[in-house]
Amino acid sequence: MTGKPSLAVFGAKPRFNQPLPLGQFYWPEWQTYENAARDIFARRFYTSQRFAGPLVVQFQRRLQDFLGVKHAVAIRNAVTGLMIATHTLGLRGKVIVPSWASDTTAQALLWSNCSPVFADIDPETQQLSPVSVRRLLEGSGIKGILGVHLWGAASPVRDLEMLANEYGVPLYYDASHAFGCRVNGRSVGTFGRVEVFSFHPTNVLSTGEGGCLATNDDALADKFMAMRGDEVSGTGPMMQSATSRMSEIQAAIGLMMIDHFERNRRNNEEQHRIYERRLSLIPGIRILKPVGTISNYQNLVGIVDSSEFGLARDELLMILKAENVMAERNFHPPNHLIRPFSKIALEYRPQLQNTELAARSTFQLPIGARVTADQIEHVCEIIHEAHRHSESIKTVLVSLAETD
Amino acid sequence: MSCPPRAVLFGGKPLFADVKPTGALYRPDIETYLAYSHSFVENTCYTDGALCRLLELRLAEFHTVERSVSVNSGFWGHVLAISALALPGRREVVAPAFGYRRTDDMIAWAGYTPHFCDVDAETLGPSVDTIKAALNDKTALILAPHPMVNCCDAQGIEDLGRAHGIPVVFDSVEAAYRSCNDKRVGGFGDAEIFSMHATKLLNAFEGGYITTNNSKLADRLQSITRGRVVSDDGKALHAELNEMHAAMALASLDELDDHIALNRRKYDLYVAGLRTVDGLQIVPHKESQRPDYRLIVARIGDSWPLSREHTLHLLQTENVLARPYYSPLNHKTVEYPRISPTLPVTEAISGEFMVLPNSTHVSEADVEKIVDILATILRHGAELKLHWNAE
Repeated sequence: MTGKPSLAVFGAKPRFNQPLPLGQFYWPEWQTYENAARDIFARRFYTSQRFAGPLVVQFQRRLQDFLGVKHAVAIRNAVTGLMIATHTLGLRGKVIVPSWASDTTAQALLWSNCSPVFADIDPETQQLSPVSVRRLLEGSGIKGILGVHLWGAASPVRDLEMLANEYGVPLYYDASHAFGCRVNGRSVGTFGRVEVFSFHPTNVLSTGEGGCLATNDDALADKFMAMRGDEVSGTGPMMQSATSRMSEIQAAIGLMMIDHFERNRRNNEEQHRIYERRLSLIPGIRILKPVGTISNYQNLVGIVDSSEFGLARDELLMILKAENVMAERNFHPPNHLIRPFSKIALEYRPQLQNTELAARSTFQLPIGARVTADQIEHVCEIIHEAHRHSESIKTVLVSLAETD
Repeated sequence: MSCPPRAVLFGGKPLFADVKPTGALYRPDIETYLAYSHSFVENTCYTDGALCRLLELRLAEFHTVERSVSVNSGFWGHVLAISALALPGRREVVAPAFGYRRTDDMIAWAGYTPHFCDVDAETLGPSVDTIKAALNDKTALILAPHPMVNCCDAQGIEDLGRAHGIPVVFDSVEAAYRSCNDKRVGGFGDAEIFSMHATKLLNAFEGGYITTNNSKLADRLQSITRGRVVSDDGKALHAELNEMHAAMALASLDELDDHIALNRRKYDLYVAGLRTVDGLQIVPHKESQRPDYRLIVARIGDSWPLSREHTLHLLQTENVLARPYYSPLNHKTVEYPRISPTLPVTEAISGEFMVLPNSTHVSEADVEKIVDILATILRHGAELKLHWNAE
């Protein structure tokens, strides 16, 4: 190979002047936002007091229609939703959850007086492994299963449902990554006892920050509303409040975003295809494709096989960062290796080999509103160059590490 | 002589076509809100961004404290502050039962057991003596709320905590504007918690913040409330404020003087109007404590002809959404472990107070009408009593 590669690690100008961030960051047009704000100010109804406000009610109805679910209870942020779900299902004690997930998911269990018992993932899909879940259920004292739909795809919902029924424990989901995903014609949001969505701006549907609890269970929905701060009668003993009202401006943004959901999903899909087309040509790079799911394509997840690619995942990330591409290794280290969970998870570690492998090799690339097709071509080109020049890059990275 | 309340006695229409709530619901200038919104939209950062940082600086300045940490609500601000400060190995949080009705929920989420204490009959808040009576070797933290009007003895309670080596957190949700002993609320104890729910002094749609003069604690809280584990118990919880709510808070903060002037005029009308209504007394906002005149608390005396509940019912029928002051008591709500000794002062006085509307939905003319309803109730007290007895 001739010529010095035009990479920033070799002293070239970074490919991008501004950082190219991870996350979806779709947002309504200014004019529609302004109109919605003016309406709220004119109504002087800012947030729920005893009852949800008019826009929150409207947003919930739209979510219910969209998801095909009986109840969507809008909340201020997703982690409170997970806590409300855990509390309402009456869980106390051990709950199975994948280690390969956001630490927020496991933290929600801690706050709800439960302790996470970490299950492994399927190495192909990175979704929760039913084999691993069964092994844990065979142990003692498991009270529930908190599944996680990862990367714009769905968990093996049917297998998990069968396991939950067989062992008689409630199954519920963290569906943060999976708004608008469908399995066999059924929306994510309709599986398990309850599913919790996140409307954080990094996800495909944003309310600036927020989420919702989706369920077909009337009694659960009443309890969710009571816990978020509504006045609901007939929930039995008064529910422990977990204040999580959604404001009217959050709901207004959600309504605008749901109007544009299909447009944004399609944009993600087109971007995903560019990545797939370009990166599939590079040895040692595999792109996770949503299997058996109609995806929202909100995450672009790659896996590095360093022996074929020529560089390790972290080396590739250094190269991308130098070019101002904010690629990230998510969930690294995985939950069972970080405090406070590392202390309680030691005994499970031998059974979490797929998780640890994923944690060493997985990375995310930008996809969504803040990246263009053209920029994606450049990102792919950088990765291609990194592969072609892996040998010389290694020497540079070593010397960089030494000067550090 | 005016008629008795028509809605009840004659089946007429409510006096007010629109409801008159007690919460502030202050509406800042929409153009200011949009201008702040513009800046976060340009930054394409929608949560915990530059506006949250600006708000934190402005709030620290406002309270004359070292630091403020923005959070998504006063509720979770409490949970996180308790969780960060409570003494390890101890189980109890001391708080009055006569306070915010979600107090025991906040303590429960933080993982502690409430130990309820009594209040001072004068301030309606906890005092050094009432707290001291609840302290023991299991006390992990003191949670002291300021009452709706005026301050509790913040300095005394801070000193008590220091003398016993027990952290003190103030629930200052209703006291954001006030001073105690010429020192601004915000700087007492280890930390103070505020709400920016639409009904509070600062309308942020929803939101809250924590103030402290301890920079190390502020750093820790900043991390824990952003989901980063730094504490020994390994707990962290995403409770970031979003940028729309920060924009609203800033717009409200910009107009604080107007908001307070508005409150003041209506408060004065209530005081003047009810002076001649025997049996009702407005709890006076003390000038020396830098009041915001937002909450109108009336004490129902022995000479008032009706019970508080009947009085509230009559007012609510007219669309005046007056409500009882901190009711039900905390130690009578959700069923979970709590330590609840007898609280003689709380039991004696907790049924005597009600909160009258002073929101931006209430005009000065409305205040006069509300005073008139109360005067009418007094004049027709005997009839109304008979009416209820007949039912």
